[in-house]
Amino acid sequence: MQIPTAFVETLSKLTIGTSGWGDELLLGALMTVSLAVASVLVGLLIGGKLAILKIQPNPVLRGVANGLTLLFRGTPEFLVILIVFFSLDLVLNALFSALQIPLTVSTPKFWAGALGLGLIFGVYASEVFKGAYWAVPRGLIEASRALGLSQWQTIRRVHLPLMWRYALPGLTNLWLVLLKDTSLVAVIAFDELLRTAKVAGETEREPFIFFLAAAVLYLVMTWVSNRVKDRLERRVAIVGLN
Amino acid sequence: MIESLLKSTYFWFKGWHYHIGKSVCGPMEPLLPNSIGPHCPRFVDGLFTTFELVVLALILAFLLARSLAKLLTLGPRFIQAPITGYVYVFQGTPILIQLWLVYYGLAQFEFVRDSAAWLFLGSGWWVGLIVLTLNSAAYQTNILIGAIRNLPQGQLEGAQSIGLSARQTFFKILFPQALRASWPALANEGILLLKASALVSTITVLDLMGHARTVFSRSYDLWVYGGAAILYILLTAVLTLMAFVIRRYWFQSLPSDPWFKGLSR
Repeated sequence: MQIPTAFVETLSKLTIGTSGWGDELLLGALMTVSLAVASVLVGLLIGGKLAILKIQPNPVLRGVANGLTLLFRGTPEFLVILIVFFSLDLVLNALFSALQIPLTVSTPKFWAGALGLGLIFGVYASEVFKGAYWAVPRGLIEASRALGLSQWQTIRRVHLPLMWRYALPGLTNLWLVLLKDTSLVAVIAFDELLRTAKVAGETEREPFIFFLAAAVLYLVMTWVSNRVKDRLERRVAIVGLN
Repeated sequence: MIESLLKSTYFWFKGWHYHIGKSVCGPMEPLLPNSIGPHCPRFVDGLFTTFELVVLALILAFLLARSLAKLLTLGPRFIQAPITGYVYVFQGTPILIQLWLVYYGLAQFEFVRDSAAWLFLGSGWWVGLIVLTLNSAAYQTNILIGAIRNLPQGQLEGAQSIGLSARQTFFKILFPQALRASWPALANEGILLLKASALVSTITVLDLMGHARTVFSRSYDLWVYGGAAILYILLTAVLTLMAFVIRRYWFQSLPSDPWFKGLSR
């Protein structure tokens, strides 16, 4: 059987090295993962704060947090990222001029993307945290108080470790969504996987094979995430509690 | 012939969007900021374009997902692996890459450009509709199949023991119950699709996001995006309301349905 030379030529463009784009694509995948990790860190911070607001007895604080959630759930992720991207340098430069620092910056694309994605992640994560907070059986909290643990000890030793187990499935789902949403940052010209594939495709005039390669890399990333998710969930499963 | 028919249908709809837009925007224009006011009819056009695209995609995807769920439950074994693969691939890759793969990727091949399918694959709107449909169908299949597998085993056995065919078993027994159980998840998927539909603006469709990006590039006023965000939230509310109304009036309510406590007709 003869393999057509055109096909071999196309495939050779995916090799690693100076002639192929394979290494650039892998670097793009690395950028995607690091962007996702940074977004998770930002998102966990935001989500934790929002969740604390959501479990307050004060209806005003709760209302603010729930209103924010409603806003972000109704707005496309793409729009959120664009708004953050275009407003971040306005905010930064206004901050610098207010502090009288003689500095003008253009938006750092990585952090604009991480902040936008982190905001979205955080808003959804706050719902997960809230659910996990209320899912911990009251009896366990009361029991630990009755054993003489202080309020802070109860939170740190009993409530938070249990909460984490209830929150884990929700958070891993959010990670899978986030990993796919990082592709939106390609539109603000941050060189992650999808943007690298687009540039490569435009340079070589063969967009199909490069988009296909990027899609395969995304599939690999979600597959690995799924495996890790399954292992983690089996590890933290609470026998007799679920 | 078909091409001109498609074009004239498209422009007939566009005409209506702008017609409504002008009559809505006329009295509102003094209230809007300068960067939005003169472009207000475009936003109305975008609102309708997004809504039509999403609702069409959701309906088509629902029909597709229903058939796929049937094949997965009662179909032959050799057909189940490709369907599972399709669901996995469409759920595992970003929708943006799916759109670009079909719109920019397929355009590279000459045989695609020469074929009859180019009528659809060359147009951003049609590619958007096709990809949104396929993507949503994958998610909806997953939701429906999960609900079907959660049904008590006795439902299937009972249906088979009274001699119903596979088709009847699925459409009369399993599917209605699964639909009832998974309706909130399906409504959620509809809202996710609405938000994902903003991405068709990257393949030249002038939906709400596309118009917002064009208008924004003239003034760089962030209120343009703020206005688009408000309209998207409005659309989310409309979709949520539609899901509620369909469930309220199209589903026979059961006494055990917590949604209908004190609501049933």
